[in-house]
Amino acid sequence: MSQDRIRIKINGCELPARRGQTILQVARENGIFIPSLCELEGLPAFAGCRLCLVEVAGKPNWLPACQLKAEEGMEIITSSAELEELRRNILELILSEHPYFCLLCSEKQTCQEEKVTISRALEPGGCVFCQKDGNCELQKVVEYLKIEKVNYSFRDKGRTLWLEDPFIKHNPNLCILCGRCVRVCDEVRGEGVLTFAWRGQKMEISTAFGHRLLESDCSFCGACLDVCPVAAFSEKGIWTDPRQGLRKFKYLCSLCSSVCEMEAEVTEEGEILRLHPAEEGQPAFLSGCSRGRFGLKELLKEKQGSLKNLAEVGPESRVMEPDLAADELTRKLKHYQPEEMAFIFDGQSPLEEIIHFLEIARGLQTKNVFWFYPDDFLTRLAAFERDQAVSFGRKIEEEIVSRAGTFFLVDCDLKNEGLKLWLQVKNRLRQSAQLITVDSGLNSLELQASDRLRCRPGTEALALVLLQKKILEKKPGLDFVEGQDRWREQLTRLSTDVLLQATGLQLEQVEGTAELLLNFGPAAIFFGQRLLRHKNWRLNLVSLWNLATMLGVEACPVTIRVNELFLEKLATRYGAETSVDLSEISRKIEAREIRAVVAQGEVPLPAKPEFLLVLSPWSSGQAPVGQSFWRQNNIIFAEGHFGDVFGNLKGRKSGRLISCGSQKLKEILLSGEAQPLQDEEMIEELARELVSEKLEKPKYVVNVSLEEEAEQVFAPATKNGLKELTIFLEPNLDSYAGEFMGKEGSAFRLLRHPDLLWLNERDILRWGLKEDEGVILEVEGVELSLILKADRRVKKQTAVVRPDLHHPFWLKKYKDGLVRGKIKPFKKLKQEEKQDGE
Amino acid sequence: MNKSSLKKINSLTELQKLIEYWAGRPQPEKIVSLSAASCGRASGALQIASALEKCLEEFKLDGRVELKLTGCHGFCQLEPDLIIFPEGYFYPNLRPEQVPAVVEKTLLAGEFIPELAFTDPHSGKVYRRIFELPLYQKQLRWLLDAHLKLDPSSLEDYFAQQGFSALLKVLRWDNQERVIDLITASGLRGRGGAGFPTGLKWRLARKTESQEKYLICNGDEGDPGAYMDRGLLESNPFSVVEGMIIGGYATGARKGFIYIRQEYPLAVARMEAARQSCYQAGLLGEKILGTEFSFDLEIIRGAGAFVSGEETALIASVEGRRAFPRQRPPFPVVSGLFGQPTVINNVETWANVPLIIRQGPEWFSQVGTTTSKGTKIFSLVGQVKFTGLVEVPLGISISEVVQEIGGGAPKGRKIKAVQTGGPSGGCLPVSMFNLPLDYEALQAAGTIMGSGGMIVLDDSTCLVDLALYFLRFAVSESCGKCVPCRLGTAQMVDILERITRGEGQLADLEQLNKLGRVMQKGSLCGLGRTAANPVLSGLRYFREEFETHVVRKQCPALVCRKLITYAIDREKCRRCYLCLKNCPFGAIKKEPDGWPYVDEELCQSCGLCLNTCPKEFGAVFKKPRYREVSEERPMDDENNKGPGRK
Repeated sequence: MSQDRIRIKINGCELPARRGQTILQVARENGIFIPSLCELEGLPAFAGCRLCLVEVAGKPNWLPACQLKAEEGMEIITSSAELEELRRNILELILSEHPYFCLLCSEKQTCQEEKVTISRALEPGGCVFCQKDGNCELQKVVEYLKIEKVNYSFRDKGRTLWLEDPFIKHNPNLCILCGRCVRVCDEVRGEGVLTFAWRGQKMEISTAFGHRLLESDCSFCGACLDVCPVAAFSEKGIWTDPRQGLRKFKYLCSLCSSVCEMEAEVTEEGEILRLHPAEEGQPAFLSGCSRGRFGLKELLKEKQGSLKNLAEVGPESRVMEPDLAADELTRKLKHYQPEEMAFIFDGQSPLEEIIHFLEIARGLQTKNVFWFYPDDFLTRLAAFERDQAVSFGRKIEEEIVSRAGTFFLVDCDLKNEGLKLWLQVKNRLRQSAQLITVDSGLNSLELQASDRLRCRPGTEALALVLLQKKILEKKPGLDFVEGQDRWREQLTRLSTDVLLQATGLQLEQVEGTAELLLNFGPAAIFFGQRLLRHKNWRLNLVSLWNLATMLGVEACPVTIRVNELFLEKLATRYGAETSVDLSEISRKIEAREIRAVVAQGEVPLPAKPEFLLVLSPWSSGQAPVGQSFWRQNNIIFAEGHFGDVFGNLKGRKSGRLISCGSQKLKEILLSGEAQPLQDEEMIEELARELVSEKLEKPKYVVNVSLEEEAEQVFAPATKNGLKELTIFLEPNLDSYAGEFMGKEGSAFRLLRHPDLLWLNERDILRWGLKEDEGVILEVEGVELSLILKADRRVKKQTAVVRPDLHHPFWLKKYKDGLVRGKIKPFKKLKQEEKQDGE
Repeated sequence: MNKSSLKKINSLTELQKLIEYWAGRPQPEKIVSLSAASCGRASGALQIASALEKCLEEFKLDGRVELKLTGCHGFCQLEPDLIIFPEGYFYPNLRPEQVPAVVEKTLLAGEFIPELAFTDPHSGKVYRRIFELPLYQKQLRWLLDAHLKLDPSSLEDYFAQQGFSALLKVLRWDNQERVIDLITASGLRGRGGAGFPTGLKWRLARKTESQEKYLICNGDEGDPGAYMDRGLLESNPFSVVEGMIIGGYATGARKGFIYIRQEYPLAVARMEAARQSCYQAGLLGEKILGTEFSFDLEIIRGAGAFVSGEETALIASVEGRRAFPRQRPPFPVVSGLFGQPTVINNVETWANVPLIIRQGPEWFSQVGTTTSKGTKIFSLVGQVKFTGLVEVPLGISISEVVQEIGGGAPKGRKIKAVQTGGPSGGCLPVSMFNLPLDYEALQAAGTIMGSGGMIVLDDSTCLVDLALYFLRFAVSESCGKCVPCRLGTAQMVDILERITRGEGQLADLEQLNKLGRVMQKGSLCGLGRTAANPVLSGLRYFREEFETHVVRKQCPALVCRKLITYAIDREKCRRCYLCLKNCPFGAIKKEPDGWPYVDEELCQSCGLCLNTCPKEFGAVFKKPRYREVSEERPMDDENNKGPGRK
């Protein structure tokens, strides 16, 4: 009970409050309603709607409660005849430019059946199809203030609707200019796409120069949809009457390590209407992204269709209902010995699915339990840690973020790979922290960084080495750590010039970055999966590890998948073998040592066993066509446990657990066996273990000869042809379980077009190419036609492609990391042909 | 004067010597002062300047006569004008071809040329010297007098007028509290409109603990018909700089911003030049004059929105954001620019500071009323004989300004009202002309002092039309952030338009009053709160005129187009039929006897007939259009029911 506790009087009642709270917050906590339209918890105050004006004793003017901070002994009156009169007038003014028939119409009770108001409302479609009808904040305030008639003339804005963008539509005629969308876009999400334009009567919400959202750097996070009090911003393609019965349920989004809590709205017919973030105890607009919100929805819609067709299409595969599958599983597996079976699971599946899977394996007493990561990132990282006996910081504690003076991102597009972490980082950047990016590919944060080291593709390691060299020069007396001398010796031996030439960086740039790292407090180092994609990934990790050790901080991987720490623990507990070599299993299958395989998720098995059962939400190109395909519930129904990007355990503590049919399986398979641990308990126990685990003292990794590696891998590229360039393959983040979201979904395809080739603006100019025109990319004799786009973040003589990884050619190249190729324009070819003809 | 000759002044003593040198320098035989502010240049001051230079060279007067391109001399309608010192001869509306005569006769022979003198068109009186002019008679030109002899681009000239001696004084005291005490004692109040005591503001800023503090000079003058700030910025930029340096010293601010609207390019250029010379002379920057005090100044150009004159909006604009006002409190003096304590004062306030320091608070507070001290600059415009930039002691009555300084109404007209404070102010009728110019008195009367716009209106002005003009201005300039201002003004314009069309009802007047109250109580910033003032004061003092529009559907001033029509005076008409040929609506017809007449049914009141009728005839005149009230629109009002419905 320190100074933070104060007491104020509202309407004569003495109420407790905390210093820094606004009057509106205090009133709300105590159940006093003050109408407001522009205020929203979590957004900075705007004080534009003027509905929350209150009387303050001793102040001549009425002040807005949303902005007024509580002070000791303040006396507030929230409601009086005068105040209500003013509010009613202001609300009538608001209604004078918002079509209000849905709010005031005397027939609004009965219009549900008769649909008479359509003809009356000025909006095409009328109030009946307004997405917010029944859920509209304006409607609530109108009811509270008992408005029955608007005494002012209606001023129709008559503005054009924004209908050209995917997912989001905007109706300026419904907009009450509360500015919530502008504030959330700029100050919370850091996009700054939406803004106010014009003034006075002409004022409207707009983008810069009124361009489309697609052309305005919008990331389609959808936060504007969450905050809009009316239906000015609404999701496209939803034409269902919102008053109709909707089923809502919560789930965890597993598209990246942010693990946002989401809510799905499903119609009575079972169609997914919308997915939106619904974090408990937090404003919705703090989480969610276009992939989790719109991409997944499109994907699920498509998949529901394709799954139905699967039974008819595939000659051998069948989609089975879970109970049938369980019967078949028990019946078939009876014929095999425990040694003849193999249980393989994909590390990306929700934890609880895996637990059930492991329980089945234990019930069948088989020892052949394997698991793998489909992603090279995690496999490689785990291998490195094992070999070098080091461990990167997996748990990104919030303290690291709140304390950091610089954020050092290596090949890490934090906005796409760890959204929530980025939002926290961004808050720090607003205060005093600095952002540094080291990247050879496209990085959406580069423009916000105070320092950017844009090195040649594949030379991240050398850039980091160069940085360490400069840090050592500036501060030679760094503390002694194991292995320091040898590493330091190697650093000093390598010449700066060679490194500069190899990386293509400027000396001043590197020195400036070193300066920043030394002078702005502790650094928080995050690295992304691209760092491990290149063939010299080991060296990348060595130099990053040593840089972190030099600075005395931890380097933390930011995965785009579920945190694997839980998984490892779980697998050890069940004795599952990690990171298996699938070719070994294939050999055994061919030798008929293994005859039955049960797979959870996508398992790329080359050989086909006698019996194969795939448990997966859907089959994808990579998974073999199984004899039986057990359709698990779609991911949004599966409420798994996850470790999020901060290492926190996330999950729903509800009794109803996932995987329909699994309960029955358990009964069949585990009859007479010891009762397994309850899932919840086990996961919590694992989480506790994780927290108590302590990291070892950092040391330098030195068993690498820098010079040799540098000479081998980074020999300066010879300039062959004019248009020969390095092609950088960006991992495609827009996928789930190997399915690219934009493949079928038309709107998402518009947003993340897979057929684009990104070049530096200057290269385009130099080579006489044109943006938005077709080019032909030639890689090892294969010609691909792509659309050219300019991006100044791309390095010179480099192209960036987000390839379709279903293509085996790209998949192979993708794992190598870098490709050389040539591009030529479409048009020129035609001209040449013409000339030849003449 | 050559700017590169400026040397850095390293100590207070050096500055004192410099001021003494320039002030004591022998004056040239004659000084020719040419008003060359924006208004002078627009009327051709630069051509005159080049003609003068040529002549001076020709007559080899270079050393003896000094030509000065000064700022504004204040008598707007006589631009460009020439004053010849020491006699003070005044030649208005000069043309380049008249220059040789001036040089030959006045400069060489010392004779006055009566043909070029100012002659009062109304009385026929000839005025030879500038201070004899009626416009200058009642003025107390503490600030403006400097403009007559000062080259705004020359720091030396400013030194010659004791410039920077106030800074010298303050730095010698080495006591910030004393400066603030002095300003407080002088009773100086903000000249931007609200009239907040400047000393108190400075003290609050000084008391607020913070590492950074800022000063801002608000030169975003957006009121229609007001140009006091432009006059000061263009004519005497150094006084503003000096005032701000003193303010920085007193409040502990290290950085100042001068915010000038983009539409004032000359003011920006002059201010920028002044700033540069001050940096060169060591009057700005690190360790000013060898003391421990440092102060930086930056000029920001405003991007043309009326609302950015509001202090919180201006701060947002300086920060690089959209000029939206924000709710006060916290006031800028507690949390302003970049969240730091900020003193924001109007141009005129800053310009007053050096004067007060130099002359002492008692000298300043000798004029004025109990609450309002010192002088105030007004831009006197509208339907008076003489218009211009005038500086009067506060407490002087409105009629003194309008009748004596402005010379009263032009011939044949009658003054009806005066509008002060621009779009935020209101109209005062003739009956209120005894009101002293005093912050409180004006506020009580329903208008504001504002930054000093004063528009005189005669009987040819319709008050409804005037209110509509200001409201339209408010509608298009409202920033749009808060509902009462954005939509309240729009509704008011709707209603006023209805009234000027003759479709108003008595209930509309109540609606206007109600809307005005909503805006006053509910708006976020000062501009929104006062935006209804033109209407409210109109309703307060000229309700009869509003009611005539509503009830009788007539416009007494014959301004509202829909309520008037035209007629042809047979006595003056020569039957040229120009009006008939030009009427686009065919509303002018011939009587059987050949006289043209206006068919009121067809007349759209475009006024083309009035314009085409040759001036020497002047046969077409305006007259009220009589309407059958009941036919126009069925009235909801019980009293207004047409006869047919009874």
